[in-house]
Amino acid sequence: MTSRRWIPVLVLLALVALPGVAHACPVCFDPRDQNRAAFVTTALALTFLPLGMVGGVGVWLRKRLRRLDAEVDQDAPASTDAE
Amino acid sequence: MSSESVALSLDSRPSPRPRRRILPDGVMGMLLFVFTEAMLFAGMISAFIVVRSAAAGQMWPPYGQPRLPFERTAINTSALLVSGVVLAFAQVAFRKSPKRARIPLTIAILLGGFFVGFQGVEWVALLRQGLTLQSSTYGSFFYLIVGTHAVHAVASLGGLVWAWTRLIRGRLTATAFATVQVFWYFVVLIWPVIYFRVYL
Repeated sequence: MTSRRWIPVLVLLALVALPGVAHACPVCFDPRDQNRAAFVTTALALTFLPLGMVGGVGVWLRKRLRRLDAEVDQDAPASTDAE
Repeated sequence: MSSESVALSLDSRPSPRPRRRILPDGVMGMLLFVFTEAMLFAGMISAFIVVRSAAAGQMWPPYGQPRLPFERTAINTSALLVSGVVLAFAQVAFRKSPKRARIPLTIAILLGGFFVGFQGVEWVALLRQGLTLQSSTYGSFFYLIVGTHAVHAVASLGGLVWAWTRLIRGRLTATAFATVQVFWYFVVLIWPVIYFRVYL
């Protein structure tokens, strides 16, 4: 029973240790610095470009919504105050 | 609770804010399309950068392949950038009076047409010099990336011409104009990235 408890721990250790010996990444071990740098740079660009685009539009829409809200509040009649 | 009290409570509720349209549907749809296209170009340019970096220390362009006409394409690039600026002026003029947008929109279309035409002339010259899709990865990437941009430029130019014909007939809406503009600005803004990455 106690040995079964070790199974998840061993699986976890294997998962942590295996990628180190798997050498799955074809460029991490490329001797050419320029090629490695190109892979890293383009991977980062492809990761952050969609986030930046969607985030940028999100921020812009939020600002536009606030501005429209402010315009609606400004245009609204002040009848409620009089009541 | 009686029906009268329900009706009274409903009446006393604050009226909902009027539904506002933050962005026209056409513009939003075009923005989403442009985002996917931006990722398409980013993928292709990334692949080109990696392939080019793998050739570090080797000859680039590969042996027997012509150098891309960086200087001549600068004229083309300028025309495209100016067309984007002129289109922005057309938008400002359109807000004041649609008729005022006729001249700047015509100029933007002509400049866009010049860009596409000049690209075609360059392609013919490069093909004659031996740069083809099969000649090398250099040629493959060049025609793939620049060709994809050309397809977008032609499609977008078609959109501008469509907008122009509607403008002449007095039937161009602000939303339709904004939608075709988004596409053209994408074509204009992605080009310098291609130019400096692929041509240089």
